[in-house]
Amino acid sequence: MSDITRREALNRLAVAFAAAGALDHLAAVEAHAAIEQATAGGGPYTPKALTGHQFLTLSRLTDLIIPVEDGRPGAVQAGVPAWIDSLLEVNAELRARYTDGLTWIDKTMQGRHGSDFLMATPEQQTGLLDQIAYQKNRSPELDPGIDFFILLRRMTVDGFYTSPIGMRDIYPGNTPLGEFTVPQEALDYVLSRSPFAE
Amino acid sequence: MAQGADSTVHDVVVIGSGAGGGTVTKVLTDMGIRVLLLEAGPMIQMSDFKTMMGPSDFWHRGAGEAAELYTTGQTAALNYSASFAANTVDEPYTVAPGSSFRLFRSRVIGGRTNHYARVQLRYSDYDFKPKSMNDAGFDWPIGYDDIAPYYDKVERFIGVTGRPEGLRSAPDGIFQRPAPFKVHEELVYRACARLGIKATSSRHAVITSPLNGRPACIYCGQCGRGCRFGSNYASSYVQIFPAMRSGRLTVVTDAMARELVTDASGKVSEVLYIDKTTGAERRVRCRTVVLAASACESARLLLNSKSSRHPDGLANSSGMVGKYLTDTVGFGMSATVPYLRGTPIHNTDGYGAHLYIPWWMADQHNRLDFPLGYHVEVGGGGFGMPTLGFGAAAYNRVEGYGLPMKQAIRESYGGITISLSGRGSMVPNEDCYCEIDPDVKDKWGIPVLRFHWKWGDSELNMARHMRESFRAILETLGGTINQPGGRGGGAGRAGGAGAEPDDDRPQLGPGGGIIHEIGCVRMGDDPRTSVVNRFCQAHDVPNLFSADGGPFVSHADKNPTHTIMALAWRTAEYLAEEMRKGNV
Repeated sequence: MSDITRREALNRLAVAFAAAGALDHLAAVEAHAAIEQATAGGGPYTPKALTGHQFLTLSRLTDLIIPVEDGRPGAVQAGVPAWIDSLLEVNAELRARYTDGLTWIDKTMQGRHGSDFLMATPEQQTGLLDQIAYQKNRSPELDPGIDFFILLRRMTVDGFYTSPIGMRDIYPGNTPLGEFTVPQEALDYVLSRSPFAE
Repeated sequence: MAQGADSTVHDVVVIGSGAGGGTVTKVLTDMGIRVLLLEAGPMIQMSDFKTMMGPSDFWHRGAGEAAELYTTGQTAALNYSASFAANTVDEPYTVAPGSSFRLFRSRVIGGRTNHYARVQLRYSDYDFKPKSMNDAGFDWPIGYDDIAPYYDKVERFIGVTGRPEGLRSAPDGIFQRPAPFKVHEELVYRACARLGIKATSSRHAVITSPLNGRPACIYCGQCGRGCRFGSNYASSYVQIFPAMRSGRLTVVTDAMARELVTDASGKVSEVLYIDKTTGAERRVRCRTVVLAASACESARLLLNSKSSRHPDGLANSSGMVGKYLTDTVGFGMSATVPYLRGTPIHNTDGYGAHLYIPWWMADQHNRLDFPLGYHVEVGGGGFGMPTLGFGAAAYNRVEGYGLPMKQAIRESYGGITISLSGRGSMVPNEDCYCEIDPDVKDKWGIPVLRFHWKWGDSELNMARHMRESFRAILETLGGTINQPGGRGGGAGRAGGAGAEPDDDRPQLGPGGGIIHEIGCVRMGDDPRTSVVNRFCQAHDVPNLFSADGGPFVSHADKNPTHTIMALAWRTAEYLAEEMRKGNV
């Protein structure tokens, strides 16, 4: 749905621009925001490659990796778990790495605190991640978790910043402007550190 | 066998729909003349361009249809480009032993104009007269003053940004307001000023104010994808699609011209082409033909059109078809500029480069060991669109997760390199030419081109000067030169260019690598040493005209597109007048 809607919306945008002759940039910015909202993640999702439990565990993990920040959406709001699930559907080896990794996390949490990852406390959850998020903690016991976390962190960051919501978190481009300007703040920052500082 | 379905004698058949073909087509149809345009590639629409799309427009975001990026590491990058590169299996070319040449062709309506960087520079007076002014190469029979009115016409029609500077090496045009320099360009501008070099706003075929029904640029920086909105120039949406609406243009796409047939009087009477969708050969009858298939492909068509009257190929009594092929001299260097780190994040898309450096030593050749010059294009800095792999350097370094990781990603975001790319003039030489390969044919049985190529001392000496100049500019702005990379680049290598072990000149890439191949159908007053006259009309075949980079006699220190268009406009007007008089 989101691919087609976005392409159609972009086409309508193009037709509107061409017909207008003079571009109504405010309308263009609003239209662009509407496109992104229509294609954002969120809303109920039925996982295809993972079980319901695995998907919820994955969602909690991505939420910890890229949480909401000052009200700005994080990985879950940006649809990262669903994106990862869609990739697992077409790659059996990748799916196995996730199911093995998620199982390892649940079993490790069970052994430590008597519950799976989802039912553990936030402190217990971050306590485990604080270990497997760093290569310096490598040991025969933790290696499977560390290896899985490397993959999970990479794909969570990938999924976040390539989503419409996540891209907007950091990248100000790919948006229609009525005028190109360079903020004085940016010029001042660079020039004051350059050989051309007054 | 040929099918004789179309018995119409078309007043003008144009072969090729790029900068030259598009210009001739629009000018003639505007004058009320009917045109048949043959294009070897497919038709596309503006909605096919991937302007303003991003990774999320592809469900896998670039991981591959089988998410193979995450298990094998291999995947094709997402392709947003509007270039329709010719399939070299179906359409090969060959390179003679000892030569290095790479031919790029874009097979689609509009050709390379859909994706080029839109650099649009007027040639200088000396670019037309390198022999008399700089004792190098050959003079054109015409000069700047002959072309200037046509530069005006092109600029008024398509719109070009720029800043008037009064520089001999950068003739001013009719400009639209340019965008301000980006942060890294401001640094280059100031470094140049310290060195006595005048940099200026780039001159791009992009409009910043609405023009002729086209909307102003929205600064998305994606010209290479083709512009869905028509705010930059491409022959497809600025010339050909509007000409189609005139009712005087018929476009035949997927049409690979294979031969021009002459009648008893020696004029071209038919164009044979292959309908690529069926493989069938078709003929169209013509009163006049305009060859605009790109310099090398036009030469190929002429050489493949042999007859008893033209045993060496059509219009080739001089033997000059295919000869004196040139390309731009390309050399690049980049530097890391550490103090760019931490620049406040802002939108840096723009319309590509907003600054360039015109040649600054046009009047100082007594101080140089090469006769011609180059301009410099600038890249770097900036905040690019996230793709898969974004932030990896940061989180691999800091590890962890959560907001501290996100902050580390943010702090490492933004380019901190600045790159300079020289684009230089070349002296035409006898070792650079194309001919028909005696053995190899393409998918449709048409003999292909074989290339011969050798850079001369003029070019290698110029590349050495580029290296020295770029080092000076980049170090003046506080950059640390990046170590040399592959071909044609970097901060100087021992044993670079020639056979001599102490030749410290940089190695240049293959001919054709900058994709400005021009020559091969060159203009001149003397039919013994040229193919077309000063109006791009073939000496031997009066109803045959050339409207791509073929007629170019010399290679400027500037990109050829603007001059291809101005010359094509002039040729179209001349052709129309000759038709009106009944001379063709």
